[in-house]
Amino acid sequence: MGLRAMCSLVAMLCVFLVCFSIPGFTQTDNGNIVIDNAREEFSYTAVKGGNGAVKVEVASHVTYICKNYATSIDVVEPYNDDVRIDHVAIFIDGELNEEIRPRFEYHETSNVFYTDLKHCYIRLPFLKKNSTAETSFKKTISSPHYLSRIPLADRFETRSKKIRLLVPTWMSIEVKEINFAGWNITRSQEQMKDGIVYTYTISNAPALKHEPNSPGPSYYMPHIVVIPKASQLNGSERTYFRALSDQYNWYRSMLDSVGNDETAVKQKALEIVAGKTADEEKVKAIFYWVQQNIRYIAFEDGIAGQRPKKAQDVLNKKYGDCKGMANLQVAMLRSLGYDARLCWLGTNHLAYDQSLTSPCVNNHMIAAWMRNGKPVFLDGTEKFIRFGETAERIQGRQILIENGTSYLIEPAPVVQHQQNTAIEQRMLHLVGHDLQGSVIHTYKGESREQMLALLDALPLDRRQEILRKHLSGSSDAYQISNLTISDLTDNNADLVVKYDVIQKGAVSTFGNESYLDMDNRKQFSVYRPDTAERHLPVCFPYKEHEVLDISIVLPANAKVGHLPKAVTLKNPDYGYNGQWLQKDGALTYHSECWLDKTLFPLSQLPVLNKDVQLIQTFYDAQPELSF
Amino acid sequence: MRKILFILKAIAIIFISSAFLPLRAQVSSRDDKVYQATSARLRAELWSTKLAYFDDYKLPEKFKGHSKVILADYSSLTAGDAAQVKHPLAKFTNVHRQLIKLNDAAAVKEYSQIGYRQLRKIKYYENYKAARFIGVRIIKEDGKIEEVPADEIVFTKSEAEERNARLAVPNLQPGDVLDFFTVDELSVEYELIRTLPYYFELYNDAPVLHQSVHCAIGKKFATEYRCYNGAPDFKVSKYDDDAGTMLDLSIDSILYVAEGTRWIAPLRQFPIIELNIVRGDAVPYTPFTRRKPGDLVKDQDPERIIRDEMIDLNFIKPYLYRDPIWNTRIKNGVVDAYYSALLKGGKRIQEDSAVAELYYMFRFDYMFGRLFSPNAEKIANLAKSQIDASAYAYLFSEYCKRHGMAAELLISTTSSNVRMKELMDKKAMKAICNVPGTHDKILGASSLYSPAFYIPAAFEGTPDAVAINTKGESSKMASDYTVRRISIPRSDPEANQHRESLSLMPDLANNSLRVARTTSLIGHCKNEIQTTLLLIEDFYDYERSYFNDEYTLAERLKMRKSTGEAADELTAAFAAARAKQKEDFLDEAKSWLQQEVTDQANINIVNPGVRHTAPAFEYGSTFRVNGLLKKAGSNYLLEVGKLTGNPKKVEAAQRIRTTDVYLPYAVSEKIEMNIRVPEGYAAEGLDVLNKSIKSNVGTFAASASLDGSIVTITVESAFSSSYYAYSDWPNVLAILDAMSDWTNSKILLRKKA
Repeated sequence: MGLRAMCSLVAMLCVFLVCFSIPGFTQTDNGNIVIDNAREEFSYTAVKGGNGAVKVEVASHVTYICKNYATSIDVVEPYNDDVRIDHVAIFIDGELNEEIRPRFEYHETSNVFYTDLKHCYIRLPFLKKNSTAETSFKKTISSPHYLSRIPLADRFETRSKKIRLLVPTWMSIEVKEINFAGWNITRSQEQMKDGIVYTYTISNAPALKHEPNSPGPSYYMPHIVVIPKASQLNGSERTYFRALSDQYNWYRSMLDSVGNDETAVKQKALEIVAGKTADEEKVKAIFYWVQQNIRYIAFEDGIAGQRPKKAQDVLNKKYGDCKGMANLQVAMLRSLGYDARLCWLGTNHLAYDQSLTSPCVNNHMIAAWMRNGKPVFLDGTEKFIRFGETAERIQGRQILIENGTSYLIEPAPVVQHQQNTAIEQRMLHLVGHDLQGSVIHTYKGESREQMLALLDALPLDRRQEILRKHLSGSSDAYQISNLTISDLTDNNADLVVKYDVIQKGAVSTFGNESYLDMDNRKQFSVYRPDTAERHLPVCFPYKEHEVLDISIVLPANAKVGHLPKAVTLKNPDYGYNGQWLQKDGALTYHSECWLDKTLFPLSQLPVLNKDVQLIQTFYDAQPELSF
Repeated sequence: MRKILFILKAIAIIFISSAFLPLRAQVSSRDDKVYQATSARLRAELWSTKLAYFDDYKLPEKFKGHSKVILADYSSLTAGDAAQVKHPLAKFTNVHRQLIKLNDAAAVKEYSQIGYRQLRKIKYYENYKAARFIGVRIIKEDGKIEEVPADEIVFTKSEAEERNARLAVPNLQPGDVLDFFTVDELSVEYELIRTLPYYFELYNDAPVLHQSVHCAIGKKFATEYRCYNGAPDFKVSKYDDDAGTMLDLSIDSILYVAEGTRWIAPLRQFPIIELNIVRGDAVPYTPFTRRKPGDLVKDQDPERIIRDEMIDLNFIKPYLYRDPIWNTRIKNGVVDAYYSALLKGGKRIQEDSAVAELYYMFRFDYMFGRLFSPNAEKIANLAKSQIDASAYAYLFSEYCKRHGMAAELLISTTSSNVRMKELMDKKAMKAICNVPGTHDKILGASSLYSPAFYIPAAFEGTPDAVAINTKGESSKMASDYTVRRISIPRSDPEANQHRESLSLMPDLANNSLRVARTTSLIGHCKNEIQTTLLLIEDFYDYERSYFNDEYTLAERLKMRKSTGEAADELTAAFAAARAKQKEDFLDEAKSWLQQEVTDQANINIVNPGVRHTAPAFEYGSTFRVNGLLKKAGSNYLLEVGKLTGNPKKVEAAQRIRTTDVYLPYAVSEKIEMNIRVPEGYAAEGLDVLNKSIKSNVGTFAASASLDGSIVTITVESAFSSSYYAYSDWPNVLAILDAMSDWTNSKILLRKKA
């Protein structure tokens, strides 16, 4: 798994940590198990002797029913240092069962070095059709800060689920309803003597299924986001997230105790910028140094998961997560006298923006260099992106920028597909049934980053072999030799890959006629989603721009017969140009496709599919030569 | 066989012990202190130990292109007594230290995070305690040595019985040398004192410049070892006034086997030393391999291990006779009645048929006579579950004896393990069954669908398998058993054939092909696909026709007291399995063709392939394939080569080979295509499709012809053996290349004027 995927995973993990539980997708749903009834109650309660501190007590009870045949399922309840499980009870067919032992385990994954996220696993047996199993949890959330998202749907079909929020008069909250459209949800708000009770009930909700290339769950899952505003208890007033400034101050309070030692990083910073005079060159040097020398290792540890590691520790250890890398960049830049800031943001894995004042909005940290009062964003976790380029996952995202006691909000730049152009140029000639010649690939932007990530992960002694396999699509018919790769460490240059190629059997000859089939990429076909079983939107990794130009030197006695008709497709969100031309003794093929956005709603997929079919017809047509 | 009992005992004890565990037991602070003190002591010891080559950080120029190079590799194994004992304990310490030059980011990544199980205890069983200690130092390019502090670790599991840790190695960069060791300490009661085998592998997928091994085996233990495939021998000496045994080895030229090399069997071709440590006094159940303290046994006699195995078989036999299979037949009655009818009136049937009929009866009982749990989901997926093939064979051999057949248990090492003549450990052997008579009739199983006389590929070609007649229930002594050696034959490629019959209709309007496909798989080719596609319900229906059983599986289970209550559930589970079967058919077609497959219909199991008389698993479906029919002016090109599956590819780096080739089995493939030429078109290019290669390793042949409007193409390939010397590799490559080249074949459908 590449760095980008790791970052996304950590991003998801952050959401888990800060924002309470989202139902996991650990088991395939085949309709055999349904949630007959689920109740979840959240009560804001005073902490005894807590001097106005508030906690949230959670009581949940879920009844699962087996519709068809005996089976067992795993129920997973996450918790962490701020969310404690106080009590678990399991009922099988209505009887309390003390033989089933919950397992309490750390969340362990190869992509995250450490997290304080833990799971309570329960295997629920269903002994026969119509058997029921119930789980009952009592939990305590240490502070209203850590209750944010509450999902209404589940990985199992849910007949009825009721969420109740018991909010005393001394506590104020705001509830945001998200993705309610199309779901059968009722809500009520009841004024009681000692507070307000918010109730949400979802009925007959289908199971949420995992589908590949989907956006994050916040784009489609019905859920509420609870925003704690303030509490006034025993004369003590506490403010949580009344406004974005409160959230910002909460973040800042964590920065106060980081303990950066600027002098410790200054020496290294000076060493990195030695010989450079222009400001941009110096900032760029720091950015690239962190990018290339600090290994990304995800480390999420409760409240510490929100707090960056000390800059000098990250520097010494040469590893860190997004927070650590951002903090080191800021510390280095500041040590050189630059105005550098820490920034909080949510990547495009999250559907929210900063108008929602909740920690669940942000899952990433980067640095910003304030150039003439305008931020230049520096994301050290994007290991191979160039200075000035912006990764898709942060494009257009609202970024909360540190600004002393106040804050700034700026969107990250949105760039077009041209940032990510990947051009492949083949110069070929006919040799019997084969095409032979040379090829140059040039990668820019995120296509460059993607290739560099691949190359970086490959062992030196297998790099050529695996790259050949990658470029040939594992086909023996595309035989690569004399492969060269441009300097991987040159941050100022595009990535260039060159090689000689034999396209075996690309020329089919029948009598005097030959047909050419050499587009082994057919890039636009890749965009075709499987709409038959699809229920979720499709999300592409970045705005691709792929160009394939092939020039074939024609033998003197060759005549070009039929050429496939050129095709042009222009859509606000994507496009394609394809054409064959005969020119100056050569036959040229141009195939160019691009995406101008990455998130395609379900409603747009049939149109995209139809367009892919149209382009496929062009791909399937072959030019004819005669001799 | 004793392993089965061992596992049962272990499971039972673990189960019992877990019931008394506190919900979230943590490692005690005492344990923690002991661990930390030991860890500190080991690090101090190891770093101060002068080991040859561990202070030479220079990388020879010729290795600079490798991702990582192991400059020095040291392993040591110490067997001695544990200091603190209530019961007699033994302690084994295994040190593995490597000095590794990291040349690139991939190597840095590999070592930048180290996860390990720090502690494992099974408190209530045999006082088993295993602990791992690690030490990491980084030698920077300027020679500066940085030791990674022990407190860099985090715990990802911290329970009283098990603790897992992770270490993020700081300041690690390409160009660094990593000095890394693990120390595994295992304390265990004497009762279980034959250790798992230690393997010293004298080959590697990274260059190793120097490798050394040191073993110090205490006086209470005996040592057994064997050097495989030309591995150099230990230098043997004594220590502590002749009280213990020391074994040493130091080599400078370690075989390099490139990562990803295919078709290898390391224990039969690469230098490896296997070493066992055995309690050097009376060990129950293993009198023939009993050792005295201080014994050093090189190349022990495999016959003695087999004798011990017979004692195990005798020990376990009474448990076989407690299997429900003996009673369910009587209760069910159907199968028994069938067999009685078969032999009624002294009717003689062919020897092979009698064995086969008994086997099918046994299989039917084994599968369906033992269904006591009304778990419909489990029943619906019965054939997908793994079987313990050795236990299955032993049970069948006893079943045969109950029916008057002198069946033998046939034990052997398998093809991925050592040769029988080099046997070091009973656990290396697996079992199938043999019924002697006028000729040997060998029966094994890879799945519950395996027919009679099926010999699993892993047993094939064993020249010296051991056939043991355990003499049935009445015999109580292993010494009564008879033993002989037999050779297990290899199957020929025709016996392991993948056959495709494709009827193709070009759909010019949609640039696609309509395909009617029938696949026939036989021998080893079918196991995985058969268990995926063949439903247990359909298997039952097929088999019950032989046993004259008028009821379906669902009906039969409904009648039973134990499963009857779940009748509705069975219906639902069978329906779910049938729905899943459609998905599995589609996935299989996509996987074989490596093309986009749509509009699947008419899925059909033509023959289940579960009987030796009709062994081919045959299935079919119709579907549409897009992307293989291409417009070429007014004509069409049809990529017929892409309809021949996905031939094995050999990477450029693996084309040069210096090691022998171990294929899983001899195999053949035959693909027949019938293409209907659309009206108004003529087929061209058939003549160039004809290809033929033949060598000592196998064949590849393709031919095409036209008969009226039907083009017939046949593509055949075969590898005649499962083993080839490396000198035959070019011939193997030639066939693989021919198969691969043919995938580019096309025919032209020319529009008639």
